[in-house]
Amino acid sequence: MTHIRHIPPSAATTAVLWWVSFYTRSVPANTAQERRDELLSDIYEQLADGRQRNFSRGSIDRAIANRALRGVPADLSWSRKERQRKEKTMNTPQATPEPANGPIMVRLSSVGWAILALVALIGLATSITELVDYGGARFGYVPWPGAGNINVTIVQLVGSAVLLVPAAVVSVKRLAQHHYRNA
Amino acid sequence: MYGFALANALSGDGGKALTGHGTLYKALARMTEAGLLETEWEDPDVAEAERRPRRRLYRISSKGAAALSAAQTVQATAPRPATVLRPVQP
Repeated sequence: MTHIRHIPPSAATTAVLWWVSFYTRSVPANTAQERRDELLSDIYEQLADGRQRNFSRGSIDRAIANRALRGVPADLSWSRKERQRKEKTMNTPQATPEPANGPIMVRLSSVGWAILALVALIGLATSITELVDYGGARFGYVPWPGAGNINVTIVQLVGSAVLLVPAAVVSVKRLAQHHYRNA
Repeated sequence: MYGFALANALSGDGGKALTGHGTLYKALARMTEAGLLETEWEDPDVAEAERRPRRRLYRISSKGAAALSAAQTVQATAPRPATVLRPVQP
């Protein structure tokens, strides 16, 4: 790792080094450190070169700031690309095969959606049963005190139907994905 | 060769219009990724002895040399645009 002590500070060099730290903040640590080290070396070399050519510190600083400004679009595009690469790497599933007798791993949200679909299905079935006037009396079962009231039954029917559609779609989709992964 | 030396060589006018930091290092990173350049960090002891930050050194790879040679061949054989326009005869 290169140390900043090699660079005599000025507003320009401080601003450029801050900019480098800023646009490398979300790229992988190793890549970010390499870019910072490379820029630190570049700034140092430009200062040394300018002194050798008898340029004033002010003109060297202006040249450094100018280079940094002209490179901003490329810095941003490089940073975005590195960030995307990092996210892609993190999202790529590991190719480790699961053992055949291993535990079945499912997402907690999938279980939640399956439970919701089941609740909606039960709600739909009981409301339809009530609406066709069999009600709880037929099975000797009254789901809750409001059962038997036509308004409550209609609300239950509509609510269950609205809930059932997304819950069933998501559950079937997740089940298919799970099946596909294990195939 | 290292980054600043490359920028200096590319400018060719005494260092007045050096390539922007982002432009230079993005291009170098892409060429390294494509296998056209090889890179390594300088020995820290050498940099420390000279009391300066260590340099990242670049050298052209065999693939890069082949690509450069191919590009130069294409450039040499490409038809040049006519520099003299002649009026159409009536």
